[in-house]
Amino acid sequence: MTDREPMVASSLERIFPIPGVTEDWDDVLERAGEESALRPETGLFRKRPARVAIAFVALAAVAVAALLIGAPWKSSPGFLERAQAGLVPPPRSILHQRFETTVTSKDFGCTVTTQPSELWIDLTPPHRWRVLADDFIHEGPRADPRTFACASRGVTELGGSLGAARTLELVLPNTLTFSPRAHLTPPGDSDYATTLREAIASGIAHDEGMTELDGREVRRIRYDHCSGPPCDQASSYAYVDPESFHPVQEVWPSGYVIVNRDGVFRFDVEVSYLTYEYLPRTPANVALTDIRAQHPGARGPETKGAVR
Amino acid sequence: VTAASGATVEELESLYRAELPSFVRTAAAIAGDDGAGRDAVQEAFAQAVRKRESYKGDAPLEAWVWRIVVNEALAVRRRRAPELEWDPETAGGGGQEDSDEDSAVRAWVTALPDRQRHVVFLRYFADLDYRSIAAALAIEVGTVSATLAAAHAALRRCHEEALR
Repeated sequence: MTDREPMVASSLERIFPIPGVTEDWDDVLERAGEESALRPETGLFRKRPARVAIAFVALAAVAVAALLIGAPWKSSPGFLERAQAGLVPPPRSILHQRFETTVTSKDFGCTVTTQPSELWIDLTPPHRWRVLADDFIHEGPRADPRTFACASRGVTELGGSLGAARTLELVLPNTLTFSPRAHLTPPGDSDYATTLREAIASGIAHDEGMTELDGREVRRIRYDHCSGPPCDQASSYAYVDPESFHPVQEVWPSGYVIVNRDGVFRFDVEVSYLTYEYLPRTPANVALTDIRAQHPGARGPETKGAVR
Repeated sequence: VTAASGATVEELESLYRAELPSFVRTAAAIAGDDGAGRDAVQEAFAQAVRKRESYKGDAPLEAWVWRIVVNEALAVRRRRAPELEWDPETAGGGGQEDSDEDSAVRAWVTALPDRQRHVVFLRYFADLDYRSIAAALAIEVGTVSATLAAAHAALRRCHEEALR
């Protein structure tokens, strides 16, 4: 160093302080495709990009809708037709869901149920969304396996637009920052409903008829994720209201897998829907999909309007 | 131990864990804010992992990674422009608590030509030696020295003018 350099270094150290950082090497590996290369096939979940674990939250409901809209119902075409008609979202509406998720690990002997999460998606492009979700859900494949199944971490608020490169996260008390976690990604390019129909056109949905779930009469749908052997992914199930066709519960045996240096950890996942409804696209309801509108005074990384 | 050709994931992880604050600080200064800097570093290391076989061992691994980080931070900044101009209140920390003098120095650094600014960041934020800076920015070692001297001179001039 020259004699000038220590002085400059000291000055810059004060003016440009080292930011608080949290290591997230798993995120690096995910971005590099390393983890997905190691992760075994995991049914529907494997179709999600590794970085978009939060998509699980929204697409779970989407998957149910998808099952009902266009699958080749072999045993009950009448039910399919009614469901198809009943599940078409009203034009210019806001999808609103409240749900809780239960994750069970046989490896660790743990079961945890999240606090109720709440999600709003504007069905009009650019499909702005906002979610209040229990943290471990959207930490997804980066989660510590034991914590994933054995602890609930509290609710985090995230928001963005489907397919956007970044997700905003509220950091209490009143700051918006780019989330190191996931972002929602639509299952296709632009047309939400069309993409959902395409997602179920593979013919893996089967109507198993009426059954009872927690004292409630529901329709059970089996979802076979493999078209033939070898197949290590168990079927999942969707329980839907027979009249409204809205989802009541989804059950995903071994529905989530975390692979890390310690091994492969499988988790059973249940999503129970407390609310599933389409809201009219009023200004007040649109604001529910907008994390900035909910926190107008928040400082944020894109205060000049890049991420909308 | 770094292989003569190709890097391992473990080496990259070790570097990441050892130097993450420096990487983020520098990337944030280049990209425009802490969030963008963090994202650039994550993405840069992902690139490094993907391209690790192409590391030839002709420069320190750290310098090779720094080059990727700087390029990614610049790419982030280009993608964001013009929506987000460099914001002295958010870039690289600092902000409202700055003194007038700090704000002035921050502005002087910001006003440096890109190469001078990047050399300053890599010298003082990343604490790289001249050879590593040269490798990171793909310039000659002598150019690093000259560029840093020019940056010092520019900052000194700004300081002297401010004292008048």
